[in-house]
Amino acid sequence: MSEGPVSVLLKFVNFGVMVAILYKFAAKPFKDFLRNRQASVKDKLNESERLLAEARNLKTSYERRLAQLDQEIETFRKTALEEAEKEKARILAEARVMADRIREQAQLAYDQEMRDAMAGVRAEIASRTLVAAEKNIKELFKEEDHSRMVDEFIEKLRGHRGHN
Amino acid sequence: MIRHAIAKRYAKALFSVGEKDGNYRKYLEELNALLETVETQPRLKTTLMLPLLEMAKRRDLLSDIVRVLGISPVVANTVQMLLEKNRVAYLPLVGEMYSELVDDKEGRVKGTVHTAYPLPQAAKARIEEALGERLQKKVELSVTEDRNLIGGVRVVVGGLRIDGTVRRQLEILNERIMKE
Repeated sequence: MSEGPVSVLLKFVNFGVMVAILYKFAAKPFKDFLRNRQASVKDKLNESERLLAEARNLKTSYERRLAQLDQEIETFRKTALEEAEKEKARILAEARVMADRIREQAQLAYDQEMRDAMAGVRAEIASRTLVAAEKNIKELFKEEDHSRMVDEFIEKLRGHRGHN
Repeated sequence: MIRHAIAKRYAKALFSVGEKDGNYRKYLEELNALLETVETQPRLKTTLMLPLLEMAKRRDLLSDIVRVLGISPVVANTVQMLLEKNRVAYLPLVGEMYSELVDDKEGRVKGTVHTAYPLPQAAKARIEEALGERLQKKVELSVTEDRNLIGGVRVVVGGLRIDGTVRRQLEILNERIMKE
């Protein structure tokens, strides 16, 4: 069954009233919401552009630094090599000084050892000579020899030529 | 050396008194008598030297010894001073120094002749005479026999030492070998 014209008209009126109420109470907040939303989207767009620009700058900077990196590596390698050479020269010089010192000390120790050994040999020779001489003298020495030595001693005393 | 210096001070002090009063020889004899008594009685010597014993007791003991030996007050006072200063141990050295002072005063010097074989009296007298001429003093030597010298004699008079022994010649030989 089809609706009558009055019913259709009432529906239109009803719809009109609802639109009026909605317009009266929701139009302003909705407008504000849209305005804010627009501003927010705009800000985000601006921020995105700024970040994009920064990223581009960074990219350019990194590209430039990457281009310089090989040169830096080469410079660093040269510097490191120079330092290593200097260190090597210093260590070699120190080692030479140390070696000279050790050689000198070894020579001194050797000389001292030789002197000691020679003194030892001399002492041994002297000791054996004296033991042999004393043994022979004791065997050959007589009281008459002693008396003669006493006479000589007295003569030397008279001559003022004392032994030590 | 300090011991000698200290002993010499006492000896000189006693000798100067003896020189003035003309009794220096008597003091020497008294010192020798006292020394002989102390040296032949080890317990007496130890008692006099023992610091643990009361000084008054040690003083009394010394007074008794001095009285018994008839020692004159000058020598007694010197020994008393040694006792008071705990220097009784210096007594032999003081006696030795005093004896040297007396010898010096009388133009005499004492020494020792070390000999490898017995030394005849005549040889000893000739050595004393020869040394006396050299030192311009009367020399009195005591004889010590030492076979280790092998042969010859060695004379020690005061600070003078004259060595004419085979042992010394061997020492010289040793020194020469060591120097070469």
